[in-house]
Amino acid sequence: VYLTPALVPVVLLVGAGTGVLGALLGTGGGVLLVPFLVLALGVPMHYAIATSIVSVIATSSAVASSNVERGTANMRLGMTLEVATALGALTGAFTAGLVSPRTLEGLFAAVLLPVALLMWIGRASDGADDTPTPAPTDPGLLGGRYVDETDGYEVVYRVKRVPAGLGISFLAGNLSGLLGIGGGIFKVPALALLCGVPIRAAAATSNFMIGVTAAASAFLYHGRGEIRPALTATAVLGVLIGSVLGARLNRRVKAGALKRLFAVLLLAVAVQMFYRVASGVAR
Amino acid sequence: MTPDKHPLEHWVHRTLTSGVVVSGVLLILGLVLTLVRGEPRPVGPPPGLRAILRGVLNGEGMALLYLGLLVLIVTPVLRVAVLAIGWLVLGPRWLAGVALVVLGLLVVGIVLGVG
Repeated sequence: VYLTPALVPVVLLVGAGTGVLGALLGTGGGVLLVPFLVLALGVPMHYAIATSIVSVIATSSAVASSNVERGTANMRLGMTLEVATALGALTGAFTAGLVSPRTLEGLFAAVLLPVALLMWIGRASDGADDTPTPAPTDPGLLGGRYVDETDGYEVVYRVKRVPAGLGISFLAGNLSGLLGIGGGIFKVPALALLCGVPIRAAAATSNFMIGVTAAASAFLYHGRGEIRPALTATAVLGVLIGSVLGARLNRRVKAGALKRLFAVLLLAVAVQMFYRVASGVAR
Repeated sequence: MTPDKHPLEHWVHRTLTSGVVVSGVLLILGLVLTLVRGEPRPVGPPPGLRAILRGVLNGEGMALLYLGLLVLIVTPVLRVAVLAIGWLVLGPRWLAGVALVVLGLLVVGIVLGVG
């Protein structure tokens, strides 16, 4: 893998594309960045995962910064669940060092299937009522309160089923460390449906968490020499530019149709990766 | 958001923003220098922090890239440390304990990775 000057604009553009999509669709760009690096540029799977993990840290830090300011990211809940995500990420990154690129590609393709499904049906949770009924006045130990930007009302919520949230967080962290994806696609619906966290707060809190989750595994990838500096730097810069653009577009674009298109694209990527694994192209 | 009313949120915001800006500047500088000079790609294990800092002082693009990436990776760790200290001082103390556990796990990652 050698990042030639000619490839810089390509990686920058793809990074920006994943950043924009991440901001529009509420998913980390990893599900798109990793397959692009592997399928289109021939980057080895471990290097692609490492690149994605560092990009995830960049997006999380940039976006979480403003979510913390708005109060939508719940820092107390986030920190509590980070115990589970960090533990999951460490075991995931450790496991990734032991398995072949082919196995990782197969696993990645397998994980893309539920991701595509969740993306396809995701619109139901987008329309979820942000106001829990009956609305509590006291958020309890881990709950939170924030002002909804669309109607100006204060939303107050309590957190239910914390052990289930910790379990899901461990799995999401594990996938993040193993495959370089943020894991928010699984965590956000789980936090909303299982734990009663309003979808807006669930998305912001998940984004707040994935930086720490990815950092836990990034050191292991760095130690193994799998973070390729020029490639990763270019992707990170692209993703940062894309996240800023996407956040601005976010208020004007309806994500429904885009999500379905993205779901189909992910399915096609999964099929191609399965084919590479089955035919022995991936080793 | 006023810093007086929400001091913790303010410091977390400042930590994250500073980390992203500093690493962004280092990555742009490093990338430009590496490409313009055609610096060779690194082989073998990654350099240690001392070698990276020495390279930065010598104006090596690759060292700037490594430093920028390390700053980015360390940014969330600093955010956890800021919250641990903040909760220790302002309460609730039990959350400071949770933050210290997360910090401990991140240190395990550092030791396993580069220790």
